[in-house]
Amino acid sequence: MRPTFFGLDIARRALQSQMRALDVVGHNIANANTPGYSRQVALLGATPAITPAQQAGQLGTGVQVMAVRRVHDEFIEMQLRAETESYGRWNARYEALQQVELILQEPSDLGLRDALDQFWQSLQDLHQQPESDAARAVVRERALLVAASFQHVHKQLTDLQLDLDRLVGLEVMTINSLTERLADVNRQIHRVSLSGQSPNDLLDERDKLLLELAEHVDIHVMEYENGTVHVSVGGLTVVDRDRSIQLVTQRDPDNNSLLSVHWGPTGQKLDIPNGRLAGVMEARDELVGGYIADLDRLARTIIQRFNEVHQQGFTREEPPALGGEFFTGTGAKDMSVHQDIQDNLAKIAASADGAPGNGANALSLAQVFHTAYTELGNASPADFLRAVVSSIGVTAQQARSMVAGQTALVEHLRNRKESLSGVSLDEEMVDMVRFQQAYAAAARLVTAMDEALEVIINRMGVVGR
Amino acid sequence: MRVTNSMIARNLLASLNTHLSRMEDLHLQMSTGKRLRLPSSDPAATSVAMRLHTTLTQTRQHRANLDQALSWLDTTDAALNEATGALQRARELAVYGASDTLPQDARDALAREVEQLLEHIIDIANTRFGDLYIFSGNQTLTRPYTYDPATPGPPPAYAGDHGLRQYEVSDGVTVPVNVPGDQVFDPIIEGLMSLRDALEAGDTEALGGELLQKVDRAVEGLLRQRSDVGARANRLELARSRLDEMELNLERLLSNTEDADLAQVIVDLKISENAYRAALAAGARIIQPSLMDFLS
Repeated sequence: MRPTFFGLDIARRALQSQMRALDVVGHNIANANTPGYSRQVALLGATPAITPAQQAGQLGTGVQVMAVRRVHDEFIEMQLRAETESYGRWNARYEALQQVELILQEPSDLGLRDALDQFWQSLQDLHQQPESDAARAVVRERALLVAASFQHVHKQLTDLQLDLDRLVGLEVMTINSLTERLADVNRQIHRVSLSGQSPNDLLDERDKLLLELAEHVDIHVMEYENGTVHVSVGGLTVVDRDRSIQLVTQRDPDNNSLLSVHWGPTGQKLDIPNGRLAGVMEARDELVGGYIADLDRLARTIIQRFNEVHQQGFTREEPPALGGEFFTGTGAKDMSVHQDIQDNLAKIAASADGAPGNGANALSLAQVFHTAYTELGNASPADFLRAVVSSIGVTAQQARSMVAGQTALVEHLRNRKESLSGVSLDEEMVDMVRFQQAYAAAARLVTAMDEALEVIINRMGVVGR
Repeated sequence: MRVTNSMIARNLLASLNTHLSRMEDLHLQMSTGKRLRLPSSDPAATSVAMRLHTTLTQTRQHRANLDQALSWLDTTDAALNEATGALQRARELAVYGASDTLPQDARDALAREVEQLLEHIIDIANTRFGDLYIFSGNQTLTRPYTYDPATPGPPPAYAGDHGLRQYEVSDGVTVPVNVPGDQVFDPIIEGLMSLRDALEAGDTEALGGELLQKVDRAVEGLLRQRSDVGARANRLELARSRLDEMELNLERLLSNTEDADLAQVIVDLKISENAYRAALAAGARIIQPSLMDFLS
């Protein structure tokens, strides 16, 4: 037998379900512009039918919302994280290289190359007129310019290295704060999952945090069945369920007291191959650190080789004496012109034999800049500088094209993700109309059932009244 | 593919940004006139540009060295030319004085003229270029000959040295720009002094024979030095036109390497601007309408 009010029950369930579906549409529309939001779909399903005894046909009982599903693809999410890690690394390298390029000021008439060329020129003028104090004064000024240029570039590169070092500390702080928030979201997800529901919005928040974390550091993510995640960096756990483990920084005495990154509990040094943190550390140690070393090598070679030649020549003093040190210092940082030269122009040893009109040693001094030396890898100082600049150019160019490539890749994956999970307002409008109409029809069903029941309840058995 | 509203918005922004950054780059090229702003704009061209800058500096410097060398050689040549004139006059005087019919007081007058010539030659030997004695070797601050006509005695000693003043005129190639004075002037001074003494002594035999030969040898020596100086100057003149040509070529190469091709940049800028406008127009049309506009 069919229960008397069965039809009203169907209508009630329909009204409730369509209204619920309409709510989901509303939630989607409301979050159309929320970053990381995945659209949700109310999955409608028929409620279990009943099979009345001694009657043909099953009796449908209506509709219910089986689940509210989050439309989402874990595989795209994984790819997006992996490519974002590379993007973070290359972008950090590129940002540092852009600054290095600005510091070097090449090609222009303001860089080290021009200072060296001008110094060379002044030595050539001196070899032409070794008797002239004016020519000697120009040599001294240009030598001071060379020393100042080396010091200036060295200081700027060192400042950049220290900035990058501070950035390492900031990156680690960001990573720690992200892992804390992830642990917190994990805790909330766990709580919701206990009630058997799918914590859709929390899962979006979780994925957003993971993606943000991936830009900073190379992570490995494992998802538990209840939706919480386990995250590790370099094989060491940083988030497990509702617990986060901090990374710490230490000054590394083997690396100029720059920061290195360690795992909090044991202090084990972390090996981080990818992500922004890795890019910043590479830029600090290999790129900027390498350029500082190159610059020092060039300055040291010029100081030593120039002094060697200078000490073979004769000064213009009375009587002529062998030349002393011209440059002082051990590298680019402390390169300077010897105080004797600064005080007394006659101390510049331009002569090869002591005669005042002999400028042969000034010519030999000029030749230092275009003579190949083994300590510069069989390159002359001018060639070496050029090679360093063009290698910086090549590295920056590569970084730029990697950033462009990764940006395109990440953008493509974002589009794929958006295409699947993003909210389309048109679609939601169509659904809205659909559910609204179904709701109206269900309401009409209540009226129909009501009218049908009215016949039995109010008008039946009143014959002859 | 399912297309959503935020996808459209993001893609539009990305493409507008691409166009804008391209325009920014072209704009910078146009305002600076340089194609190479950073090494990474074109690392290979940067390296080439740096080398060209250095080579250009070298070429200009060698050109300056060369001009200076030519000035030295010209001054030397002028001095030697003057000395040749003086010597030829001395030879004429020797021939005069050798005549037995000439009275001794006439010969004394000739001797006084030779003395004048001697002083003139000493002046020439002490020629200065700027502040520098050109016939002192590398002792350019020392007067090569000091001669006092009032005190007779042996020929004045050469106070310079044998140093050659070498100027670099191209990479690793040097040219001496001076002539050490003793090679040229010692025989002349010695010759003129003996000529003067022979005239005073009336030694006609020596005047007609040995001394005449001495003066002739001095003239020959001078001519040899002059042709040597002339040959060096010639070589430098040739090198100068080569350096001029090289400088021109280097400037052209440098401009090709680092300067922006303005016509090309303007055309590219125009194209980018059009693409940007098109993207803006397309964006304005595509982000506006939605189904909402058509549902009543």
